Amino acid sequence: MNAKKRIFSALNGGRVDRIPAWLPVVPVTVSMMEISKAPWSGSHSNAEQMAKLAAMPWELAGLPTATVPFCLSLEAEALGCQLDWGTVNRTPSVKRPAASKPDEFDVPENLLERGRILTALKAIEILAEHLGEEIVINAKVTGPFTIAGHVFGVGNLLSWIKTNPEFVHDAMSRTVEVTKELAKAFLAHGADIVSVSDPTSSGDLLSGDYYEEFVFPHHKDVAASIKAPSTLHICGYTKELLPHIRHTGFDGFSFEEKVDVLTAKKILGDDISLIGNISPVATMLQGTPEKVTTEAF
Amino acid sequence: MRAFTLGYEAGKRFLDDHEIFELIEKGQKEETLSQEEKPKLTLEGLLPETEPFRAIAQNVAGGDVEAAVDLVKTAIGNGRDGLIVVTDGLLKGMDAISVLYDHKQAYVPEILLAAQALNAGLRECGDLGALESKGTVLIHTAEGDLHDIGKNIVAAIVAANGYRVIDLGTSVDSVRLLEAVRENSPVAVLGSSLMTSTRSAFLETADLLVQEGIEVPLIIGGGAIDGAFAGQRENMRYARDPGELVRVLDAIARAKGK
Ligand code: B12
Repeated sequence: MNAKKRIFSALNGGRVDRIPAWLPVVPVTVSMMEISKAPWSGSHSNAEQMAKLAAMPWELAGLPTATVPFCLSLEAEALGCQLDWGTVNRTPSVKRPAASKPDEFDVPENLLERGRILTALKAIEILAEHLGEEIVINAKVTGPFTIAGHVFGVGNLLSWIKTNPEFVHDAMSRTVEVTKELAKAFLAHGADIVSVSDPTSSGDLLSGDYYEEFVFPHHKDVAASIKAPSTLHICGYTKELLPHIRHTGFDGFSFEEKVDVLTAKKILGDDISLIGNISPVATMLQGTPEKVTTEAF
Repeated sequence: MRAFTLGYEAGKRFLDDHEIFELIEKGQKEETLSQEEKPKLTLEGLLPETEPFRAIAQNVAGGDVEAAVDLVKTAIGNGRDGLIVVTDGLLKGMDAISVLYDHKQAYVPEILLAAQALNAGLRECGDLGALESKGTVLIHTAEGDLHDIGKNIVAAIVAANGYRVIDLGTSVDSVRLLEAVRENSPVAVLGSSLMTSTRSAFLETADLLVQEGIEVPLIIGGGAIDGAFAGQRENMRYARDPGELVRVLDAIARAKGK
């Protein structure tokens, strides 16, 4: 079974000869930038360098996937948010929101031409052309709740849940179009999988009921619109969201160690494949190779 | 050029059936345990008993800004002492919702709204001479860390407890922080870090303060911080949550006042 087949099979709940080593988020490191000669700045703004760096986890460590872009701010930048460009070991992120009310914001007509979106699309094209047969070309798009948090400010968005629920629905109905449009464009440029990352919809911030009311319908909408294997990633504590996530229609759900695998499996059943659950900090960053292997198998 | 492989055994199942069942049993035990350990709390049980404080606290906890402000105005109008309204009413409401939040019976939207009601109520309590004399604190997030929801909550609670809070915002470098310390002579500098990759900025700040001969404690918190990390510098301390922080600050302010 080759790596690509193994990942697709696992995502669809089918046969695998072993657990595939795969992740839908970004596994690049500073030393990879040095080795690939794709410096931090270039890797965010130049398609060739973005592709080179994205291929590193495969070239260097045999991780059979290449993921772009490397940040969650691609969409926000294109929507007019001000960014903090970060540093070599810190991804760009949103510094200032673009609007303070839903009706001050419309998805621009030429969305795909704004910010660094064309760069990321081109990088996917390069990766698909050179590595598409061997490994999974994964497009990471930001989920609608996180985009809404970027565009309107997370504090505002979360307060509106209590004070102006209709604002949240309105905001989400706009930002969900961004997620869908990007997913579609990445697929058209050669991506195999779309991985939606929606960290702001974490159970650390929202209850299961809030997730169900404000986020779930849009996750379902996104999943239905993606005509390829798709995954959802949500950070932190997600136990209370799981009963809903089960029904989103994504093929895989990537979650963190705050929920144990068994609990997650019991709630999610066979409706969605489980991804992740190994601590990126305690195990991957501060642990040992042995610890990683033990936790993975 | 695959540099290394983890030595997978092709075809090996990762767990035998009996191992899976053992895990399931263990998991179920843990689940019942954790449910027993956490009795359901009620907001009613956490509120002060006497009126008007109970109603004030209830509306802070419920995040009803207007009602909280009206009740505070009435209480002050009826001759209640502003300081008492703050400590026995407004703050009790914030405490109550914080307890529910810690038990996952309230979420961040509730906390944010309660903080708004708290601040609006505070503004109605007039000149809180006794409270304000506690001193100035600076608050910031570590350089590179843009997570600010927790920091904003901490700032609101510290302010509500009678400190003048100067919020320097997110991703503040040690040089800018030093300037602000020189300008404001705070009783403490508060730092928040949620990302492990940003917390080392606090070591730099702590060192810089020592180097410049400035004696001010750096109290840090947030998901990336623990006691062991903060223990690396003498002028650095860890506080787990806003409640513990206020106790630490009060002790510092008291010691300074003497
Ligand atoms: C919401 C969120 C975001 C939002 C932030 C919005 C905002 N304006 O704050 C967005 C989507 C923008 C975001 C972005 C990123 N995030 Co983020 N995010 C979160 C999440 C889900 C919740 C954080 C939160 O607000 N919690 C609710 C508040 C109320 O709790 P709190 O902050 O912990 O604060 C409480 C206590 O800790 C304490 N406290 C906090 N500060 C202080 C200070 C003092 C002095 C004291 C005494 C106490 C104290 O009191 C508070 C009140 O009780 C966490 C997951 C988690 N488990 O924390 C990840 C998390 C923090 N993010 C993470 C990461 C990696 C990122 C990104 C790098 C992702 C990316 N690749 O782009 C970026 C980085 C942005 C940057 N440069 O900072 C990681 C950090 C991992 C690590 N340990 O290093 C986390 C832990 C998720 C994870 N497990 O991977 N994120």
